[in-house]
Amino acid sequence: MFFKNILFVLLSGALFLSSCTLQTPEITKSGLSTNDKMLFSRFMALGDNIVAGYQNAALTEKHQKYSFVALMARQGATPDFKQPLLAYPGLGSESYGGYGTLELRYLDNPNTPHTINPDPIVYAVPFSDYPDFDPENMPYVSTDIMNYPFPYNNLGIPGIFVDDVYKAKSKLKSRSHSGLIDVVLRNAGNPYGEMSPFAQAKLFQPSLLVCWVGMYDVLGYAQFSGGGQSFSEPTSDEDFATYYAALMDSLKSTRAAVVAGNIPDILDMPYFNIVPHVVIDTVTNTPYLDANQQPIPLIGVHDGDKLLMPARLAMKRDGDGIPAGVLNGSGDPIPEDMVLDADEISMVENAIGNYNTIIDSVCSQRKIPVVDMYSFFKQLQSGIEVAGQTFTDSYLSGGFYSLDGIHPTDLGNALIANQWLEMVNSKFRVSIPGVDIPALMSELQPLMAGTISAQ
Amino acid sequence: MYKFFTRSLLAVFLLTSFLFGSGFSIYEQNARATAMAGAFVAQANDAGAVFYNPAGLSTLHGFHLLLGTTAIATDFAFTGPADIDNNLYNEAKKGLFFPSHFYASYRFDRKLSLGFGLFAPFGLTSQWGDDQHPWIGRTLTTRTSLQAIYYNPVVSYRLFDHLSLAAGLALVQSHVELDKDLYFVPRNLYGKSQLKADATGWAFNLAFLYRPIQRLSIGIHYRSTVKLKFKDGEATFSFPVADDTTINREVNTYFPSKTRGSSELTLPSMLSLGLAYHYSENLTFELDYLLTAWHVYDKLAIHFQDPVAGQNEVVSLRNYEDSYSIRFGLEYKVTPSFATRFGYAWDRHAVPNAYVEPSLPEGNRHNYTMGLGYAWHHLTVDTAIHILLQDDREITRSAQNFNGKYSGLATIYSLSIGYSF
Repeated sequence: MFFKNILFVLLSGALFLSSCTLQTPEITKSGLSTNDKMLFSRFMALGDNIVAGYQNAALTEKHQKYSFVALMARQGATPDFKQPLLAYPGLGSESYGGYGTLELRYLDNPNTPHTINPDPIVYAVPFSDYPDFDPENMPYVSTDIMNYPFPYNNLGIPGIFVDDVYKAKSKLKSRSHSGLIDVVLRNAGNPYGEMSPFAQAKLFQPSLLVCWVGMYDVLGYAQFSGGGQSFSEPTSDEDFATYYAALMDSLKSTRAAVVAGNIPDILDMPYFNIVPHVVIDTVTNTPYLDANQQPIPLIGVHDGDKLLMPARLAMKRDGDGIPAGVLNGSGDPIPEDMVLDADEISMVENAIGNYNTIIDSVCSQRKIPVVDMYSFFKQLQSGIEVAGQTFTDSYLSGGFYSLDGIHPTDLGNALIANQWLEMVNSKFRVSIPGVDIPALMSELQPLMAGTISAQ
Repeated sequence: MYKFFTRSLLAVFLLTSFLFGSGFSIYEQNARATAMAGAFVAQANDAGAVFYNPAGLSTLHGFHLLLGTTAIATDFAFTGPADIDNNLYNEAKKGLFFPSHFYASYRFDRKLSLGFGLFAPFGLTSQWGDDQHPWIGRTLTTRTSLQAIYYNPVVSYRLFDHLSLAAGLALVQSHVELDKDLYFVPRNLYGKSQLKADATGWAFNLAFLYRPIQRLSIGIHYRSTVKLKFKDGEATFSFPVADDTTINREVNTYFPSKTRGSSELTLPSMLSLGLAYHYSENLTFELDYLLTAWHVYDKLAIHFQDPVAGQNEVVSLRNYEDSYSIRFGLEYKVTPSFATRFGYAWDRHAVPNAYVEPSLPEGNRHNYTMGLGYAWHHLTVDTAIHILLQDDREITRSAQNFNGKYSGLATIYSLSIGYSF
């Protein structure tokens, strides 16, 4: 009896002492192998706006450091991925007027408290607020960056065309005449002579080359046609085919691993879609209704047209598009360069479609992988979910498009980086881990004080 | 005296929860049955029958009381998500919980027995990361806690010598807490969302115990679904204070610091069928089949009184499927007062591949159990140890694009003390 008691207690004790835990695996996080690091050791990027890290209508360090190629370099541990970092508020499309990057002042203007729909205020930062910033002579963050003795790793230049990548030497000696060519190429007084972006990349003997170009060939036309600028039509399909083939041949000649990307559908971007085609009552931020309780269509805008973001300012400042007698209406139509009519729209759509067909065939002939950015950007319409966070194409709240309505935000660039890394991993037999999106979301947080919550 | 007793019992129950069986059902409601992998519906010959098969109360004499607790240690992990890093290993916080059970039964006469049970057959707690080390899935879930407690009076009637029927009603009290992080996109700010709600519902159960021959017994037990309406839940949204007052004002506009939330949840019905064979005076085997009709849990829709980030309703699809388990247990009496028990059960998952998410990292489960029981005068003491090993579950079709591998296990110890007079 006594024995059985003890036996029972001992056995129970033995049972209770045993326990199990999961075995932590040997690898708890992807690291980089020697092969991975070798591929990214001499990583160079060529291309236009998005490659350069252009965001919020300007090029400035604040967002350049999150360009998708810089994020790729971070993941691949490229030692010292140099970019032409520009000081705040940077150079961009508003610079001719004395402004740099865009910032969000208010999501809902508190000075118009009766608005039913929120009316955000986005403003361009004036150079005059930053007297130390010298846009003409010294726009860089430091003399070290300005005088960096080698070509920048990121040779992406906002506002250039396909052929500029292997031909442009300066703003004047280019087809696009982009104001940022000289900032990136620094050819003036270069002891090596004047070199195109491609020539500079080749000089560096890259191991990996990312090249994403062609978007500006159609975007420049879509944004500025009808105005005083030189974009009467997108680069013709024949020219694009010739240029793109020559470019890809040049890239192949470097013996680097080359990855290209196709052109997204720019007409889906907020820049072309957020301005309503009817007169808006600025007090309530809803459509202004006429005597018959009907909204009033804007003058100069027809069914199927697209209105560009600058039209909003033209309406507010000059009353354009609004009939005389209504609000501040001038009776004048919206300026032509702020409207894309049916012909212009089909020109853009055809250009994108044909460019992408050309990119596919040129690259497949040369065995260059193409990242399908067209399909990726399209996915934004239904939402892209990453680690529980959904990104959409909505302006301001979608998290993908920045304040200029065209170029991606820092997080948008991270999503793009992961697409390119996926392609690099599958084609070049490496395994680089993707950008940790939630960690980047945390990194981007502003300075904080405490916590606000209900008690 | 009674009030204090029930309140402290409730406190023990409400000490958060645990997750096993399939989905978030918990079938470990008595150390003796747990030691036999829960294969108990056809035996049901102690007060634990109130949970497993109340028709079994007809076999008990006099008053029986049974009080027990179960210590559960959980360890779960997720490797992924695949679109960021296939090798990233995320371990959920190791859980340690003590769900408890109480049963009472009384036999009026040869025909009629009454019983009462207080137990929690549904529960779930998971915690991933914390404030200092948030985890990569923080906007999917951080902490989830759910439990349903049953107050279940039952009546058992011995129709014939070898056939008993039982029926019961249960008052079901449920408490749910769902926490996750939120990101205020226009201003790049992380905040927290915390939802808390309570609901009360009703369930009924029907049971049947049949002894066609001396050595064989067949048990069937059905528990109905429970509709739980969470009416006045509390939703709290908290964000850190930024240096910029504009940002703080915008956060307060988009996220009410506190609002009411409501939702509905239906707990699945359960049907258990079992066959027990008394091989000898000392040895009994049982084989059970338990079906849990999880298809009733198709979505989780939460409605907010004030709009949160412009939305009044948030819907998450769940699309659970019916699941079943096969349980085998045996009891061997070394002496008339000292028993050893062993069991094995296999649980099929309830959540389809596309809908597995970190708050309930579910998969097929192997359950290995063993236990001991000692009877002395009016007292019985039963212990059990239950090792739950979940098959690694590779998720490749996640509806939330959160693909990766879930792995996990739990170690369960149970102790039940019975007193009869």
